[in-house]
Amino acid sequence: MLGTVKRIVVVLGIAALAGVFGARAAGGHGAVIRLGAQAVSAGDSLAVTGEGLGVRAKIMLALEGAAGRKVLGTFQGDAHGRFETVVVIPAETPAGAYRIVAEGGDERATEDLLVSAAVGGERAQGSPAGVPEAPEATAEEMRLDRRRSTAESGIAWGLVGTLVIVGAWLARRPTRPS
Amino acid sequence: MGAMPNSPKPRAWRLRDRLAPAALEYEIPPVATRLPYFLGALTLTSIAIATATGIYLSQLYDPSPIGAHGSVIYIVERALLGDLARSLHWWSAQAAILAVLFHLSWVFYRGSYRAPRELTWWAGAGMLGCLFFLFFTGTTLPNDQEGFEALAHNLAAAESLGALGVFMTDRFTPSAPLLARIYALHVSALPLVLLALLGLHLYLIRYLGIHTRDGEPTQGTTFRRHFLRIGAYAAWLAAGLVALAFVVPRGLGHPAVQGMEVTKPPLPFLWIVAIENGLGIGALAVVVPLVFVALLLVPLVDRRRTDSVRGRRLRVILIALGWTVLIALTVAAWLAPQQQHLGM
Repeated sequence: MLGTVKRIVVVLGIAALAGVFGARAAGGHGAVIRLGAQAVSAGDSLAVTGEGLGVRAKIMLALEGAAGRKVLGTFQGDAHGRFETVVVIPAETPAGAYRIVAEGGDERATEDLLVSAAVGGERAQGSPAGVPEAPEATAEEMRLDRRRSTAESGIAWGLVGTLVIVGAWLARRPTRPS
Repeated sequence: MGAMPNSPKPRAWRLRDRLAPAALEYEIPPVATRLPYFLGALTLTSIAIATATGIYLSQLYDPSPIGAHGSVIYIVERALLGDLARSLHWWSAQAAILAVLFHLSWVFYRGSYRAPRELTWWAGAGMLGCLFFLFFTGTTLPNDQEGFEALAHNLAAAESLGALGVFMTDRFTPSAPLLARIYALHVSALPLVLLALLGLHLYLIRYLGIHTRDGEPTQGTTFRRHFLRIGAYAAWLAAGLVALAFVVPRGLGHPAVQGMEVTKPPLPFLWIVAIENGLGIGALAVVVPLVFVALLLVPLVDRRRTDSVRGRRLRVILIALGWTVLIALTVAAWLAPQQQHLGM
């Protein structure tokens, strides 16, 4: 009986320790960004601050919306993982709901942004003032920078090898009654 | 509470006492060891892989129309094993569709839909419908050009059904975008229906036993033997799908541009495009349900208790005809120039 209690205490202790370390690890993933304004006109500048995106990490800011994704710039985070910058929302951005995306280290943070049509003078190349050039629809696929680290490739091919071996083992397993 | 000095030593904790593998030791017909009898299990394996990868993807995907495409880019480019999980999800879904179509063909050829197995057949046909619906809803989720056009087709077909189709349109509610509702169907209602039908299907197979024709032995091997072989084939299928996902990853289209129709759907839906090309988009809401109704009617049309050589030949002809039409329509849609069906 005492042995069983000891085992339970040990298991619960390990679980508690795992929980504490897990919570601490999860606590480190709190990347946030703040925008100087929630609504801007195309062509306006916008202050963006953020934190939790990795110590001295290269941080990329992008504008994402139904019309696509536009990289606004890359910046260096400070020693505390913070950054502060001003970006310009491209004048040719069609009006609509967007989000500002910040990516740095292994973190990602987003904030919604409403963009209204460019005001006075700014115009998209080849299109009349205030009328953004319509993007062309295409059936082609995007060129993606697929995440394929050596570790991930190893996991994938390790999994393939393991499954082949497990399959062979099961196929050759004696099928006598248990 | 201490053990009495002369009490027998308690048995060691054994997994086999808890899992009761002896329950798998029941007799099944020797015919069940043939390869076509593993197609159902391979379908289930593909569904299991799609479920596991889908759970991971659901933690990374944003179902809002504005965030969907960006979150898929994030999954592919930045998330740990995200590209592999998404590609595996894609290939396992295709494998499930292909395996279930072969399974259906084999069951039809064997005449295993006859009494008392009508309900088993209907549960299977329901699962086929569920799988197609899951596949369709899945293609809309990236909100790229292909997904957007799939959603537009869904809207047009739903509109053609009038009040019956309102649920699948934006008009159902202003409080949630259609894409988010489609996503909710993809990850909750449809998998639950699939699970319920699967439970019924498996229960009925266990209860009624594997169908044998007149003269075929009903016993001769055990389900345990069959189960181990299922495990082997499932592992090899999973290995093949992981390799395929790594070597041929799922692509992603550009963000959708409204008002244009420039893409064709994935392979399992190309046959529908050929019908659209010939009969217009309104045919979508008629032909596709008709195919499923025809499947449901099979056990009611063929009610004979005994099989005959003539009946078997007829079924072979029908299967060959079905596959020929399916492949011909798929190839025709693949070769045909892009057509505008939506009048966008």
